[in-house]
Amino acid sequence: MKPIVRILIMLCIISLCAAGPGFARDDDTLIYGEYGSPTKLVPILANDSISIRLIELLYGSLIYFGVDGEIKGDLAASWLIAKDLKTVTFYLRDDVRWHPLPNESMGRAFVADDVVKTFGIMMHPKTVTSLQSRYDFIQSVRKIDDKTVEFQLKKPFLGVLGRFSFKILPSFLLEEYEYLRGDEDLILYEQPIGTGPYRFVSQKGPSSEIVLEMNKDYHLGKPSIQRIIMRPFADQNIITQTLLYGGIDLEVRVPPRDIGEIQGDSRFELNPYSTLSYSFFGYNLRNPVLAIREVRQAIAYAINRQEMLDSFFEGKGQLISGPFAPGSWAYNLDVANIPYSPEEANLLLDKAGFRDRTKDGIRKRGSYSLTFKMVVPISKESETTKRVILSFQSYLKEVGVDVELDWLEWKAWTQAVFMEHDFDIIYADWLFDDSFDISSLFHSKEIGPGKNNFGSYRNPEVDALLDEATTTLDIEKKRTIYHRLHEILAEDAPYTYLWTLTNYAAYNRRIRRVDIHPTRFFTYIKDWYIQEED
Amino acid sequence: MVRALRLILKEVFYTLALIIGVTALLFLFFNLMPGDFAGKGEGFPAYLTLLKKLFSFRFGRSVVSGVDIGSIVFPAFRNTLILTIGAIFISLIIAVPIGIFAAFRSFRSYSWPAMVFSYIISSIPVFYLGYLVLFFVSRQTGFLPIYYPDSSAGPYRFLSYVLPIIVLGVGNDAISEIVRLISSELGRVMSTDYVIASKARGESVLASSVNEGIAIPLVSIVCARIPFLIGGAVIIEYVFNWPGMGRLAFQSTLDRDLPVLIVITFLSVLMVRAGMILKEILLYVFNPGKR
Amino acid sequence: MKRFYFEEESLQVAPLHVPLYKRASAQDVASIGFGLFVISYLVVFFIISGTNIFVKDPMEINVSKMFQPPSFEHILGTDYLGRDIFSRIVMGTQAFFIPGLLSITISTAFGLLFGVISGFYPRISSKIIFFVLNIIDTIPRFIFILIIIVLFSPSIYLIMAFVGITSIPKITAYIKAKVEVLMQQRFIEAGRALGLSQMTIIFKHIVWLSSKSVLIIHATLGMGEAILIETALSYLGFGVQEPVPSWGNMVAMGTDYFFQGKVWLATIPAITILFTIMGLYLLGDGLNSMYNEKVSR
Repeated sequence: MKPIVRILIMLCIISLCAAGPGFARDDDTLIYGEYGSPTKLVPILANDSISIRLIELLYGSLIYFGVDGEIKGDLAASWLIAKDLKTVTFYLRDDVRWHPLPNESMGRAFVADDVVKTFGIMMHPKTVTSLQSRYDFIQSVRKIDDKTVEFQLKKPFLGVLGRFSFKILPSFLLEEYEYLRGDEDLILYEQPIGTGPYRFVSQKGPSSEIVLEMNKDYHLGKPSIQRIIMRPFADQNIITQTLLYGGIDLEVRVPPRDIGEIQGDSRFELNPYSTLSYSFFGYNLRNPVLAIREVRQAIAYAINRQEMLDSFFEGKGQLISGPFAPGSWAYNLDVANIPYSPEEANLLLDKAGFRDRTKDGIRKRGSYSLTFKMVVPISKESETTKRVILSFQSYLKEVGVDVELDWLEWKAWTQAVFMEHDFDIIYADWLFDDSFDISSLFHSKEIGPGKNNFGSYRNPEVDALLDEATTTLDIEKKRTIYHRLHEILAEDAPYTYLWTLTNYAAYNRRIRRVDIHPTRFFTYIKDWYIQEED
Repeated sequence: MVRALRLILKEVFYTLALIIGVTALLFLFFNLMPGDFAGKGEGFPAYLTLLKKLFSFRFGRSVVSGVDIGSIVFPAFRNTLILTIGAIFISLIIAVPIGIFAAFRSFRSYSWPAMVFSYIISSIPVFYLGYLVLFFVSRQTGFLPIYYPDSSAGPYRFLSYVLPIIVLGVGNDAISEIVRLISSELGRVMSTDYVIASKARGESVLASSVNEGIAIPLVSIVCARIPFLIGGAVIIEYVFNWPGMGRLAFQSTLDRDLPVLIVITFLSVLMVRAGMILKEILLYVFNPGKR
Repeated sequence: MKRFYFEEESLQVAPLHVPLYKRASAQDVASIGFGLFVISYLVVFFIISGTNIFVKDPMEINVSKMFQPPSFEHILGTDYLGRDIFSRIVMGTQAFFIPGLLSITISTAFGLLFGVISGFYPRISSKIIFFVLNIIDTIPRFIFILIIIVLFSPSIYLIMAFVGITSIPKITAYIKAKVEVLMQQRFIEAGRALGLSQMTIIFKHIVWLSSKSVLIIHATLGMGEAILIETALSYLGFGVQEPVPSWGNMVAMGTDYFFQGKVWLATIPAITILFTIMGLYLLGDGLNSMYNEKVSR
């Protein structure tokens, strides 16, 4: 192309930049970017992280956990736990109003009926949610008066207060409904109405942004930031670029590969927060070869977890030795991490009888060979997943184990893993809440289609310990039980426990006092504020 | 008069048949898909309800988000149309001159590099081109020209509209297809007796051949690209973050949101039929010989 | 070889007495030359990737050597797992070669078949054929492919088979139009001069003449299209899956690191794609214009 044409094009582009990088922005708006879109903005029905983060802004609950971990009242002004520990009474605040409907100027008052109605819908067997099992320790709920609610428990329960962090729905919009399936003609699906610090303004379609406006009448104090906009993205790489070039102010979860780029830029702050989650390789113990404990243990020795963590996640995380997140009260620090030792792996596999090799170098014993099928969900954003899985395959090849990869579309994957159990190995992570209840993962009664013990792990001692842990009221006893569980589950190795990652949120420095809740993210939003540019 | 009515009736009937064919196929596929989701395994009565909803234009709600489908699909449709119509326009602007140029044999030695250039551009993967453009523009101007619905785009709003359209128009294989078509058709027409005769009379070769040589192939190619109008911008919608139909359709399939998908294909059928009818009309207009 | 006397008027076939090499213009030679060059390296790569000599193991992971720029040991550098990019590019030919052939075979074979049938019997079979083809045409192609992937599996052979199927309508329409034109020109003459028993010869001729240009053009275009579609699918996460290398999934992987400056990871396979497709197009174009060009005035 002729030089003059090139110059002209450059001039055109340059002339479009009036004032250099950056441009004037409404200083009272926080725009944050997510990879993906929310499914539903209704509590109980929505259980994906993106929806949960938005729900945290829109809805309130009886209590919540403060920054320092202590329980604080949100919709409840105070509470009373009876001496027999089987009755919990909440005295509700009287200054709480629901967000107004579009044609109203002021919202209705929040009353006890809302709590009762919410609980009723949540526990109804026809409601499409998995929350019923979490709250089935509650026998019943009843309204004492407009501002008092009483919960009856089936039996005494330790730390029960912390469980009342479920979001409350408005009863006046749900009068005809006993349960919710998600396809009702409900105004709540189009216009979320809650008691949270922000009100829903608009969303023009699933890939469009969601605009929220500050709730002036918020009972815990008016939030500082006027508007919040959630911008969904289809391409993970673009999110970080948008942060760097001013299109958003906050990136909720920065992929490890972009951390370096943001770290070097002084305009942005990286805020680590740990979610209560960990990654693992899970095994299907229905496969007779994988039922052999030595085989599973050998796999754990064969892989170099530290190298993977350092190379793929920039070392931002911690290796774990058992089924809990480190730093949680349940984690047993006395259980050592399995070191990287191919020699030990080879020894264990020899001990298990897989001494012979096929002509490709894969170990075998009689007619059984160490060939496993690993099913992997296809997703657009799978850079770290691919790296971990392929390294896994490579490490195992060196000790004579062959892993075949079977790529399935997401729903086909959940079908294969949780319903049909047609797999040998998976790579996944679990996300927990503060109770760290692992009984649905390892208890033998949780084996079956649709249940979380997908590997069919069975150990009577573990069952007994898990049962004891749910009933005990002594917190020290519970800790001891969990430590013992950690030991057993590390030894038995139904999973190969990998690591807990530190998540990073990145945001423009003009946002101040950013405290992040590990699972719900925006719990402390009302204290965030935007610093004016000087 | 009666003949025209019969024609219209025939067209309507054909369109109806097409709609039923497409929706039945989709319904069948959906019920076979793996995974546990709402609406699976429902039989013929559910299909009839679906058809009823479609034809009454009360589309119902999305199975996934519970939001009214019309408010999801129509804005997405409008957004995609902006991209795809703009892209076709760009493709035409670039490709037609090259094609004409190439058809004129006397300029063969100059037009060939232009043809090669059009091939180069058409062979680059679209998302790579998008990334390249984003990379350079953002580094040069300090602005990332993706889709910003509100005023945060500031003075660069223009860029964020124009660039995705240009990238889609250029990187889509449309250019080489149009160039090829125009150059061959025009070349063919220019050597027919009709045109040679008019050249002998002293009229411009271009003018006398334009109808048959350019307009007709253009009409047929633009009308053939109508399905593209709906689903063709998927990649660009991902890269530039446009909330369009391609993304919607993709996500709906993964989420198993059958109602939304059915509405999208319904619209698609209507558009394609409308396009075909338009093509017939335009061909009639541009084809004096066949009247 | 005998030719019908009326061919010269209505078709652009150069008379046989002009030898092939004189019919070709300079551009055609250049096009075909480039195209053949591309084909040759493709074939070479294909053969090499089958036998694994001359190249390093494309699957060998070396976590300590990730993202290395081109060096003596790794001619084109290493990727996000320390694998040699050059060997993966070579092996990438396997990913589209046969699936691409599958795609164009299906689309041309069925396109020809349906086009000729509907050209000969425009009343009934044409309507049926075009109805079914319209249904295929109306569903946006990417969505169709996605549905197929969801229903079955992301096998690249399956995907390419369906790409072929979605290309059938266009070819059918084109062939049908050509057949109609040809039929008008010779049906009368043939019917008069040769009688109905010559129907088969006319059939063969019509089919052959109408399909010549389509075969060349569409074969080359179809391969190019196959590569581009696989690339687009890889960007969306589908397409050929790891650890099998394909140019598409290499570009897609490279885009994850593009903005951070590691531009070559995506650019190298993109340039390979560019050259290959260009070569295919130019080859097709050159051959086409050589065989079908009217004798210059």
